[in-house]
Amino acid sequence: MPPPAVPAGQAPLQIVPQPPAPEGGPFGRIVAFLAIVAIAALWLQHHLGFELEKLGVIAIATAVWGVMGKVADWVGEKSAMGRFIDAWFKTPLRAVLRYMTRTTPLCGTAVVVGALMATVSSVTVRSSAPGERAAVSLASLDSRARPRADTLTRDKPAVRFLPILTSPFGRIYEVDADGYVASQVTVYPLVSRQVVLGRDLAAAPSVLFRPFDEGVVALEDSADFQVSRLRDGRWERLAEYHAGGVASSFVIGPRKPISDAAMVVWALEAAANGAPEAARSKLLVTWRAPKSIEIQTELHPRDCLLAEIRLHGNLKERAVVPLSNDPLIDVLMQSVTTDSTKVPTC
Amino acid sequence: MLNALWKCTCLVAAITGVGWSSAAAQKRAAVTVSVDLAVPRYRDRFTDRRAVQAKAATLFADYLTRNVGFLRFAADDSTRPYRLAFVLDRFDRSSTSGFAEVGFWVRLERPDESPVESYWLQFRSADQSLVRVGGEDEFLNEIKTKLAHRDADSLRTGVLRWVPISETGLPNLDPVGVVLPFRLLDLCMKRQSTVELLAELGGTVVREVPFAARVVGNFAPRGQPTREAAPYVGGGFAQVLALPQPDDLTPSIARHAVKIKKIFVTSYVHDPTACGNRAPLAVGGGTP
Repeated sequence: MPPPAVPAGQAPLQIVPQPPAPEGGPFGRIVAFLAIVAIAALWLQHHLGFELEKLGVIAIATAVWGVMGKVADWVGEKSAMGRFIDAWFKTPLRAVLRYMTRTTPLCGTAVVVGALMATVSSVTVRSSAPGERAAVSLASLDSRARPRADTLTRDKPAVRFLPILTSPFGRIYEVDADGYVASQVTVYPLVSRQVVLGRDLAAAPSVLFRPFDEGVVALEDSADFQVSRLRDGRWERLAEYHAGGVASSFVIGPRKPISDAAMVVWALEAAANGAPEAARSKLLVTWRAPKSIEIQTELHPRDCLLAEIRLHGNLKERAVVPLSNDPLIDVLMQSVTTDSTKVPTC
Repeated sequence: MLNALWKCTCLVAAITGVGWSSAAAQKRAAVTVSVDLAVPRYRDRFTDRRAVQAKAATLFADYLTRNVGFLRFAADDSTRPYRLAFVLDRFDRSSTSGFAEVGFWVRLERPDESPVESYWLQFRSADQSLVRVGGEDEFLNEIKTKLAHRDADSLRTGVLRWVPISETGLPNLDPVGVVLPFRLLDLCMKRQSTVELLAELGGTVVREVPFAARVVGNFAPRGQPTREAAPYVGGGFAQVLALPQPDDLTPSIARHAVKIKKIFVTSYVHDPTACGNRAPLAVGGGTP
């Protein structure tokens, strides 16, 4: 049968198939979106840290999910499970993906991720000594906000401060920890700032004051031990300790181990100062067990300390010492032979 | 009743009269005893240092009273011309070491004479240099313990020999010597002790000459004592050991031209039983 005639004066209809949609556009956007997601994930992982426990939780969840699929196959619930997955996962994900591959959300995501990566960072503080317990604080130098604090313990060997606001050119923070000298660090975006106590933060100096002949006798006769620090030309009292009839050396700052080599040097020092054997032995025993003097502040290198032993107000021994970067500064106190009212400075 | 009272009064008067006229009534020379803590460690230890020094001086005065019978001692009595100061100081005074031996130096201050000083009693050895001073009671007890184990020989012959026990004496011609104005029992002195007599010999030229004499017994005159000798009856007699040649002493005694100026004890044989229960002088001059 011939095709129907076309009305006169009218061009016949021509059905042209639609050209296929270009494949490169959506695919490229998906790749771009996934790349943004991957970079963001890597960035987060860098700042959150690689933690085996979290990875294990994800792996277990994935395994459970897979086992549930197999179980569904065995019990013939494939179609139900498939419908569930389609309804609750595939369809929303597809929708999200389709939405995110549009120009505006894609660019918006890129801008947001870029902005976050350029302004948010983290600071991780860990100790070089295993099992060390120390309170750690972090404060911005250009902000009056309260410092953020955490504590290193045996079970928590690293402290992570996140998020830390910064700028593309970095921001200065002060890190402080018990027993260490506070230090300023510049926190840059993208990379987390790693701070290792003992390496990046120098251990706060400790000072060991060893009383000598007059000091030991005076302390056994219930003398007082006082230590002051020179600040702005004035001596500020850091601590005062009443010996109560017991002589000892005194350590200001964190307690540090005393080496056998130090003991040998002390013995030589005592002998060189004319101490007979019995007195030498007593001095070594006294010095070997220092009494920790608690102070309300940290010592810093270049601080100037003054220690005095006074009996009924009479100055018996004195030592003035400028602090250095040495972890333990060992000072032998000396009898005051000159005018006791004149206090020497560092 | 009145008769009995009269008899008692007469008896007391007689005893008093005998007492005044005998050697026993003479007072021995008195010395002030003081303590000075010179070592800063000890000086600064006690808030009331003067009180501690005064108590320590009492201990020394008591010790001296029991061990040196030929003098009397009073703690911190500024009225006495002779002052015996016990100074707690380093044995080596030129040393500034805190490990030096510390002990009591004894210094005798005399009127118109230079002081005599010597190291007498070790208090803490160098090995004990880091031992705490201790409280007041501990310190005083330690002094007491040290004194209990220390004889006074060096103190008697080294320092106290320069304190005259008397400025009077009775020269005696046969044998040549001097009667002391004290009984030996009062001096807690045994025979064989020696004394030095500083005698003024009269004549054309007056001279002061020292003589060494040994105590040989108590003075008991043959027959009735003269008025001059009566006060010395019962006193210790010291015989001159070696007369110088030419002998000026004997003829001077014979001429009654000898005046005893000072008597010093140079070697003292102590009679501890005689002084065992003595107490030091009260400040101000009470008699023992």
